[in-house]
Amino acid sequence: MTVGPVAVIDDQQRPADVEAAAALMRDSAAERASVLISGAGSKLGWGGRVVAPDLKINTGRLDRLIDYRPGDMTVAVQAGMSLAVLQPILAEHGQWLAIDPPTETAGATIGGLLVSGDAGPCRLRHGTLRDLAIGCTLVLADGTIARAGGHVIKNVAGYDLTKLMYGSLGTLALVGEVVLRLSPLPAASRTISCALRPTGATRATAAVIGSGVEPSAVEWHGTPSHAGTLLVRLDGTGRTIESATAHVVAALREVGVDDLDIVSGSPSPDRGGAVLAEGRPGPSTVRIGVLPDQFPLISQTLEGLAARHELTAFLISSTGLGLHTVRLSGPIAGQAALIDELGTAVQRLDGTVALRDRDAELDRVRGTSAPMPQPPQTAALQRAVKDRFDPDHRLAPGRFTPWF
Amino acid sequence: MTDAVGLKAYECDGLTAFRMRPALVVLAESTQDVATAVRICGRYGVSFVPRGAGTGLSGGALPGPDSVVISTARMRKVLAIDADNRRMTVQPGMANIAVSAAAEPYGLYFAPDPSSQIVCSVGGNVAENSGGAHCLKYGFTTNHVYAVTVVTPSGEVVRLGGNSADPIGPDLLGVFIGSEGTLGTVTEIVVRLLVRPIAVRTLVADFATAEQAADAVSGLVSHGVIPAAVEMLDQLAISAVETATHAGYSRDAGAALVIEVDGFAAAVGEEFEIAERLCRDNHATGIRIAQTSRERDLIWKGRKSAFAAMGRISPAYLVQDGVIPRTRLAEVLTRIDELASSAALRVANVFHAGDGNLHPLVLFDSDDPEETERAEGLSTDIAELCVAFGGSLSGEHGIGADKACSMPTMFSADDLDTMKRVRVAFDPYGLANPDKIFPTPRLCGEKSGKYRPHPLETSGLIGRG
Repeated sequence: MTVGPVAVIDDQQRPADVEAAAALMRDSAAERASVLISGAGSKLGWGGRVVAPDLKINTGRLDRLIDYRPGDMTVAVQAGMSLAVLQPILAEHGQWLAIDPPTETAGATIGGLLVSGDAGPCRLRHGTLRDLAIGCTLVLADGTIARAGGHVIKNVAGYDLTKLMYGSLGTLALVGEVVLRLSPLPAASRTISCALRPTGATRATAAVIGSGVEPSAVEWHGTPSHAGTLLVRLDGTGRTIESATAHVVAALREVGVDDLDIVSGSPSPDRGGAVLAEGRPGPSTVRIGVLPDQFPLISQTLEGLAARHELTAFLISSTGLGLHTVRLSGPIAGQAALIDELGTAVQRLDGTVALRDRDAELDRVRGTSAPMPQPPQTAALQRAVKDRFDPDHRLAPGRFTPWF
Repeated sequence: MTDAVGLKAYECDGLTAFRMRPALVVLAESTQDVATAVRICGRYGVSFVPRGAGTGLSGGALPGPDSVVISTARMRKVLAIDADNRRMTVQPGMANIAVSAAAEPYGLYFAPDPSSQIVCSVGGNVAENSGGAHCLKYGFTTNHVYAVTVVTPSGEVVRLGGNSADPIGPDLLGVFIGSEGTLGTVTEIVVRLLVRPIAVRTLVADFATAEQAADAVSGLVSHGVIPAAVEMLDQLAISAVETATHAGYSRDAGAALVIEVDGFAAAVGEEFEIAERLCRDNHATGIRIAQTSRERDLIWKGRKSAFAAMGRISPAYLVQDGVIPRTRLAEVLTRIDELASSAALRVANVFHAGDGNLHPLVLFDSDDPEETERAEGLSTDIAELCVAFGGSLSGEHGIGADKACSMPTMFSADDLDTMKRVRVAFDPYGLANPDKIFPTPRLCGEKSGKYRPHPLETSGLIGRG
């Protein structure tokens, strides 16, 4: 087997193919070296910091399009290909990979998006790479190359290892290649905008979803418990979009939402991206996942905590999904205290809290990067899987501590 | 349950060619019952086989010689309905169609719809990640489950997934769904419910050849239309369906496509127009549009009972479940035809054309041992043909005991070993549903028995695709 070249830039190893990545991984195993795998590096702090890895493997040169089959609506890419490079190629055939993550502009790679679970507002309709990745090639900690899934959208042969990678943040294996399911690019879009408080936004979201027109995204942004902006994005064809808009507007009026703005064209309701970019460095970004109808409760809790710790909180919420990105700014000690209290409150709701971007000082003050007081209920099983994939715990040590 | 007569009912699932009398059957009524049974099995090193309604078609619930069957068929309750968040918590023994029935008063439904949905259980759907006609647009069981409560092979009760759409850590729920009972037994399921579409329109288009019908499907997809369902029946299948159900399919057509579009009125109107035009452009000889919901139900009745109807034209048949890239459809159908001719057997095709999930039915006479052997060989050849065309050994029925020996045609030893790492993490002693999915000497060294239709199949209650 020929092994492709490995370039070394900024102390990072950059393999150009899966075999080269496997050779690196075998070497690291022989030396018992700890390994940090990264793509664009847009989410290095997620799931805990990896401290001083012996080896850094960057997937930046694993950026080839391997096999695009427009007729089957599937594409295979090397995992280091960035979404921003892939989308225009697909657009030439009237297709897209139906995710719109805020980190797209930061060069987010397909592999990184799979292992981080990062998506965007259109997740409401299209899901994440958990739903859209149908196969992958992995390099395990010992250098084993394994393939799972394939090019067909319907496939139940063997275990779905692609899904196992979802959320794993480089702790189980290096993702070398990914096969993706594509969608037709919508021909027309409308965004309906209205000013609402969280309670009204929750009711409006339910009305939109219940209307029978499938919205692509429903996003709210603002400060907790105050009037913010609710954006509803509809996608369709030139002929159907007006009718869809009228239908949703009627559904919104029925629940008392009158002050509506309809924006033609397709402005992305993705305030998340802009806000995250504005937020760096200094403030912390916290991600909350709860039931959709718990939005008013979450915003109320946040308002109380922010006032008590003299912080400002800004919220970007996917109200149809119950996912909330919170940007906190103010004294670090206050942020640390708020995160601890929020973790306890959300865990009581069977929800999740994760820390995303933040100042290194915050983790030092808290003494941990785990935002929830208790490990997830699945911690023992997660650790058992980790033990089998990476017995020496060399991959991304520090992530998912204390239970990994 | 230990009596010989009772145990006989648990010798096999819908794949009746493989049979083995279990040592004991546990009829669980709660998560606690399952956990107790699993712990006792663990203490004595006895293997166990989770079982739902027993409608599986790949021998996934086939007992081992000394194993205990843990049936969740009695666990059929709705535990909670949360209409505001569009989700319902059910026990695994609940029939698939009963979930949608319970959601109906709220204007909601459960999208996965295997052909056997009136009897197959939600727990079985989770174990097999089964699909159905409507998963082209709406996705598979894995896209419709928020959380499951599982008894792990070591007897722990664990919840995978939860209220949050953002899990913390690797997606264990995703790897559990479709693991065919080898990673544990599911005892509670939180399913995702969808809002019922406002408008639904269905048509049946007739074509002279299956290739023309396949081209119409490719045309649809390349026009960016994702219908709710696109099903195909070939001439042999049409003839069996008409004889059995009088659903109104044209007997003189070489192939028929059932296309269903749903959504809100304007979008449905536009997509339906495109579908109709593409069928005509690809030389459809006739198009029948369902005018009432009764007519639509009849079309689906015909499609969903197609497998059971096969009994009218053949003493026995083997059903295969392979997947191919949609664009290779016409080519693969021709190859299947050639394989059938050289084996001197007939193959009927009824399948989910939109996602390339084929269900070739190999017709044969089970009283003729030589012909039976030829039929089994042809069925395996067809499955492996799908792999050769870049597809999969299974789209919805699972690998089970039936196709474990074909797994090396699709996966390398390293691929399978990597999957086994997951298996060992969940089940260090290999007690949960052994000899399934992965090739083992016991399974691949033995010959299967003769095909016998499942009683529910004979009665026309369930189909096979």
